[in-house]
Amino acid sequence: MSQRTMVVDLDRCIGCKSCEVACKQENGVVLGCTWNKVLTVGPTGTYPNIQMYYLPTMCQECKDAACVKVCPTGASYKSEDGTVLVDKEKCIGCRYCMMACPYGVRTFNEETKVVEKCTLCTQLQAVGEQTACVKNCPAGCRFVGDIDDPNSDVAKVIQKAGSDSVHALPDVGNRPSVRYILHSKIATWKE
Amino acid sequence: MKQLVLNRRQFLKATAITGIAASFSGSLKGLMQGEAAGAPAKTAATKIIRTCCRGCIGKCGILAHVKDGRLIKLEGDPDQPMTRGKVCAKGLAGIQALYNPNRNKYPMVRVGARGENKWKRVSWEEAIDTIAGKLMEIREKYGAEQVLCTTGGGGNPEFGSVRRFASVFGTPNWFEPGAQQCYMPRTVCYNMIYGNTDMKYQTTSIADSEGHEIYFYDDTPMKTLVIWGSCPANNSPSQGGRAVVELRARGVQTVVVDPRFTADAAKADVWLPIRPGTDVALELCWIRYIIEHKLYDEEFVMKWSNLPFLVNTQTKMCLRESDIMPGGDSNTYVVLDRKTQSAKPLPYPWDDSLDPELFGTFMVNGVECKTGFQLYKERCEPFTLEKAAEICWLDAVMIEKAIKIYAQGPGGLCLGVATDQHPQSAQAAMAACALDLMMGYVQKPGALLQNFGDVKFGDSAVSPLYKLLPAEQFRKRLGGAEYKGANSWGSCHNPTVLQAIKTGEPYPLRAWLERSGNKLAVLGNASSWIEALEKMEFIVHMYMYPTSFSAYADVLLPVQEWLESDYVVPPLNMLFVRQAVTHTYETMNETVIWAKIAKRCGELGHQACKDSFDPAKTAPEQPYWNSMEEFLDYNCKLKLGMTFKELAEKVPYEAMPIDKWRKYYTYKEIDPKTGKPKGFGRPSKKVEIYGEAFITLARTGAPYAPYPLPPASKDYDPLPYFVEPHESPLEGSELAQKFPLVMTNGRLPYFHHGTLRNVPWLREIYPVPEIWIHPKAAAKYGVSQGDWVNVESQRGKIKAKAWVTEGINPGVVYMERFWTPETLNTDTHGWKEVNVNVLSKNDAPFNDVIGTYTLRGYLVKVSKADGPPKGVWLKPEEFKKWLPEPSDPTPLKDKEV
Amino acid sequence: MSIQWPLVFFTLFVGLGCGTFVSAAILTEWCGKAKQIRTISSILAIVALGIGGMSSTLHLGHPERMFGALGHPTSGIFMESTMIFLVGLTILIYLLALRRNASDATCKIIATVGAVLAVVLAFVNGDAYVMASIPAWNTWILPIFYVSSAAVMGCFSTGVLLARTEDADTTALITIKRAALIAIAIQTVLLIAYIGHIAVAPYPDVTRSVARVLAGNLALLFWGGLVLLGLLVPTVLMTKFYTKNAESVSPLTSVKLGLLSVLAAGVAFRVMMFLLGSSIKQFF
Ligand SMILES: Nc1nc2c(c(=O)[nH]1)N[C@H]1C(S)=C(S)[C@@H](COP(=O)(O)OP(=O)(O)OC[C@H]3O[C@@H](n4cnc5c(=O)[nH]c(N)nc54)[C@H](O)[C@@H]3O)O[C@H]1N2
Ligand SMILES: Nc1nc2c(c(=O)[nH]1)N[C@H]1C(S)=C(S)[C@@H](COP(=O)(O)OP(=O)(O)OC[C@H]3O[C@@H](n4cnc5c(=O)[nH]c(N)nc54)[C@H](O)[C@@H]3O)O[C@H]1N2
Ligand code: SF4
Ligand code: SF4
Ligand code: SF4
Ligand code: SF4
Ligand code: SF4
Ligand SMILES: [Mo]
Repeated sequence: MSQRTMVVDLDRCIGCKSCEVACKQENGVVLGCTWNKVLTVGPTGTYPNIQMYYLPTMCQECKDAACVKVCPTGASYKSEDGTVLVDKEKCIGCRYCMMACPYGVRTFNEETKVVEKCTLCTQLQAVGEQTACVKNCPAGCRFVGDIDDPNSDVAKVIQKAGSDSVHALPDVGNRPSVRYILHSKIATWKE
Repeated sequence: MKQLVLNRRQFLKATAITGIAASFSGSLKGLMQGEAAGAPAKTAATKIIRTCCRGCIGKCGILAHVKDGRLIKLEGDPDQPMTRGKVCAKGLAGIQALYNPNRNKYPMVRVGARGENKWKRVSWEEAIDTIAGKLMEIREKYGAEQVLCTTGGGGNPEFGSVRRFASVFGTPNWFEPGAQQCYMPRTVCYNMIYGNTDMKYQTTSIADSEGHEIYFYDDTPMKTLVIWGSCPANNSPSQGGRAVVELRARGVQTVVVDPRFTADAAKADVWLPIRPGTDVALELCWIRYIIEHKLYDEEFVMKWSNLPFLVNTQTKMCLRESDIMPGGDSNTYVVLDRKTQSAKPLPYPWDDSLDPELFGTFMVNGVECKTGFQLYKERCEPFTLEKAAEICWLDAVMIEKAIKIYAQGPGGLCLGVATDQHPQSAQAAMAACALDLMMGYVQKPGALLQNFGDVKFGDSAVSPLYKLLPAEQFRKRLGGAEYKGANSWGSCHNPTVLQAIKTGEPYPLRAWLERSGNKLAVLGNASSWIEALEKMEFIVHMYMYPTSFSAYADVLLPVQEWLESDYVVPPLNMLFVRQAVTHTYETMNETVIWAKIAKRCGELGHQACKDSFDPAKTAPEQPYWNSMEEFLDYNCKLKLGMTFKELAEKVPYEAMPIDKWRKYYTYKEIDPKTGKPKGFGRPSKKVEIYGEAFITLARTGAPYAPYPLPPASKDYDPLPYFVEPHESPLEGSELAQKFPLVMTNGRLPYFHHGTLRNVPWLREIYPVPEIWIHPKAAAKYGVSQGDWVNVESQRGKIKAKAWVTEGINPGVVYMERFWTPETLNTDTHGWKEVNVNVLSKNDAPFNDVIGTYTLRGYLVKVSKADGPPKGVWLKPEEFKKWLPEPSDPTPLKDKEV
Repeated sequence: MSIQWPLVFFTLFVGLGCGTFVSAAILTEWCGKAKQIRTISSILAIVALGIGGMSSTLHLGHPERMFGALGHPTSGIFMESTMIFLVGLTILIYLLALRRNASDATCKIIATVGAVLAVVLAFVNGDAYVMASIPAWNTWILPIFYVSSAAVMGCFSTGVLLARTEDADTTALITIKRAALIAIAIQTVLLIAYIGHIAVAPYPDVTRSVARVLAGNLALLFWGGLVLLGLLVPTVLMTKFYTKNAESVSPLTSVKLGLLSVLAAGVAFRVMMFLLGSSIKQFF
């Protein structure tokens, strides 16, 4: 099995949002739509004893993708390498996938009337290039690869981080594959 | 233009890109208009052009993808050693700035009333004629000094252009809204204390692409980094911000001194949320602690600083050998020898037979003398941990923890622009420089403060041509004699200019040539300038798009975006180039515009302007040029023996081998001429932590003024001192009853100064300015998360959106500069709604050395507002009007003329 | 989640259609009362289903690609459309049978099949929203509530049909009144259960908290829309309707008002459902 996915090192992320613009530019994401958004978690605590980290969010490339399950047309599908994609030609714009996604990381394009999401820049990966957000991210905190392959970049950074510092978003049966690295020295992971 | 040779993978890349381009639908829709569906597919492959960003003052390397002459994509250049392929949001958004429908496209002259926004397109020739004619008229009738030239601070591709034009035309009056408020306080103080270096300026400002040691994160022994009033994550995400991330990942401990919990503060080992404007108190406390606990580098301060030198407490000048013995050398300083308990001259570099005292008060020939270090110690005496904690609203325990981290170096104190923006600017820089030097954090591996090599392409290749500015004109510089530190850059003092315009004293100013973004968004107390603008007889604005300032102008000139311009960019030991990837409409590089104006003035009979084109008259400096090519080729041939185009072909070009460039301990290198160590670039060849030279500066203008100046109203203090901010929030302050909160500012990673507010991708991320406010303060003033609030100071009132956060001191609020291009054509001209500079302060007190006014650390109040300001866009869809409008490349005008 | 109006009306009208058909079928075919409303109630049901179905296509970005759903019979949309189609078809057959004066047994069988399918449809209608990603929806109470809501609406629409027939059978009225009151009682229980579900649902968040429903910015919708219009007003009106206390309000008016009231409550419930429908994390 292979599962292409993203790993983000939150110890590094500086919240600059370069990845947001990189994604828009590469994928022509229209105004008002988002495939990738950086959130600020916190500050939590009481001044001046506080914590904060940035959380880049995008499709979590679920192993049991809820969006795929509910899609009435098969427009949402899981490709061979595990990437969850939307076939824009098949999408009827019913937005059930948006309801089914536990994280709200799909977006409805009002111009084309179809649902879109992070594609892990398949068009770039197909020609051996890194995704736009990985390439340009100033802090070098994003990694894309096959998490089931122990020799991939993503598997290695996770290995190096140590399991206590590797986090995932809440799983309600969809089995998200994206992983976040955050050491408690920087901040405590908030569920 | 260099086109990379496509290898197989890149060929694939090019075809893939073609595919994506064709499928662009929304945001870049306009770009693809030439390729309407069904049109035969164009076969042209995508060219990848290596260039450099100038979306801010960084130097990031860029690969621009161009198809059929149109830019379709930007990404990082992995070979640029400071950025390694990384690009920030502003840089990537360059494509939307370049093709923005709001671009100034042609030279225009005003036809309606000022501010009515009625313009007529004219030719470049006509525009230049009009400008030169008007300038010459004012010069003849009133004098050249009545012409004011201004430029922008960060991001100006050719900062020196304005200065050179001013010299040539004969006016001493040019300024930039940063300068006294940015970098100048630091460059002057580091230069006066640490000394001249190979590169023109050596400070520790990561934002200004300095502190180069951080880019060697793989092998630097750096252990600690203090980030003081700076935030690399915001000021240069893909350059210094990136390097700081790498350092942290390798275990470098960081301390952040910042009133706000910034990205860098959130990841720091210690965060000191200082009260704005009180930095010097905290610095003096650090120095006191370091002296008290003997944490300083004793060997270094003893042998390489002037701290053991005896200072006459009456004159405050260091004793010279000539002061204690007849016929003594006036360049040899005097120490108190512990063994003999007597004053002894200390020959350079050192005398092993002497055992100088570092501290103490002594009588020398009946005169009371103290060592420099003793004077420092006394100056710091009141600033105990507890005292500093009280003044700065900090916790003494945390201050101590921070100092201990700092002392575990090697490392350094990166001083940002924050302290440059209140009247203690010079003092804060003096103390910061003193701290690193006392700790011996200089020129050693792991230190921030270095003297790495110079690749001879500094940030301004346009030389000032001061020699064409007559002495009597130089002496007319407004504020020049009082704030003599500013002579190091040569700019005048803008509050003094404002007074001159308003009162006509000592003379009025009549014409204003401005090149930069939006002066009304970046100058302190923006509203105070309106009367001045209205009094002006003639105003020219040259920029990429109209801004609030344009509304008051008579002529608008279209200048180039960075993607249209050429320049040599020097990261570390390498040279890269920024090169035009396309050209739109009739935009021109301002480096040429100024030359054209000078040329026309020469034709109209201005002798210096004529001379400025004559190599014999300008030697050793470059004569004026007729095109960018001429300008760049002159410099490239002189310094590299090749043309700009040839250099562009060779990028990445190694200007100096890295081991020769990255050199440590240069002060210990033996000077073959003297057989002694080279020392530091000060008269004493030692670091002059005791700032004797500040006294001379106040009296004569040396070392910066080209001609001696009358003394300033009072001597500058050779040591840093603390004064409470003029608008104080402390108990007993009457003003604080009405305006209880301290306002400060700081960069956002998505905008550069007043720019990019017309870029949909960025306004979508951050449509309107937020005001950071602590929950307690918010509750007190009836404000909740996301509310629109009124923010008011003594000078004006604006609105902002509340960001209620624990990440700021309860007594402090924060905003960043903003204006709204969407309301440009309304009564507000876009600068009144949400512009924090409506609130800031540009009157006295000014910094004594530099003339700095108050952009941070003044008082405001907040209250809940009824809603957003009229006409301001908030929703992503509203920014559609600014989506890229394609234009085919047009021939470069300046090459034709 | 923002209110998806087309879906609100889709499920409202489907509920109305199902409810009407089921209550009329039980009343006429099973209890053998008020047989004269068989045709009109079936037409009403089919019209309601049609409006509902049309409303749902307004929700689609590309209704023309709808046939793509045929290949994925397990999806909620497929099931809903199939069920609407089946219920509609059965009602049509039923109408045809009535028209052709088919035997009572035939009519009863067809009506029964239709009624069972309609109950399933009402259930499926709600079940489509039961998903792990949206804690406030992730409960069996939701589809059951859709069924009970359909029942309440059905009782009132049947009540209206009865009240407007010339010589309405009083026993039919009593039956429908009893049915309505029972349905309202069940609805009350379900509503309380649903609030209970919200209280204990995992991944608590302010957007879907009990406090928001009972005392926050949904309180008006809850107390006014669901409790007042959905439970109290129809109960009162139905009671009045039964006692035929026609002095101030005629039975027809009161039952019509009742129908409007439960329809409004049906909208209110669906609106509240969307307003509570935040995902576990709502990032964009
Ligand atoms: N309240 C408050 N006020 C402040 C500050 C603050 O922190 N708070 N900061 C101060 C500081 S530090 C500074 S430096 C000033 C800066 O404020 P300004 O002087 O207004 O800054 P600019 O240099 O005009 O802004 C940089 C511009 O140069 C443009 N540029 C880049 N390339 C080219 C080119 O080829 N041609 C032309 N014509 N332009 C180009 C950039 O795109 C950008 O538009 O603001 C100061 N004002
Ligand atoms: N994105 C972006 N990058 C830029 C620029 C830009 O406009 N946008 N401008 C460029 C220019 S010209 C400059 S000068 C640099 C400046 O870059 P920096 O030196 O990083 O300057 P700022 O971010 O303005 O201020 C740094 C920090 O000082 C804090 N601060 C505010 N008041 C005080 C105070 O009184 N004391 C202390 N210790 N800290 C305080 C602020 O909260 C802020 O986080 O950035 C450059 N880079
Ligand atoms: S570009 Fe990288 S550092 Fe910046 S916000 Fe995105 S993930 Fe974080
Ligand atoms: S995160 Fe959401 S969109 Fe992505 S695979 Fe999982 S369910 Fe689907
Ligand atoms: S909106 Fe498109 S992708 Fe999503 S469920 Fe409906 S058909 Fe599938
Ligand atoms: S991988 Fe590509 S599509 Fe996904 S967030 Fe990054 S840039 Fe966007
Ligand atoms: S930091 Fe950003 S805007 Fe500044 S030069 Fe680099 S890429 Fe351009
Ligand atoms: Mo600056």
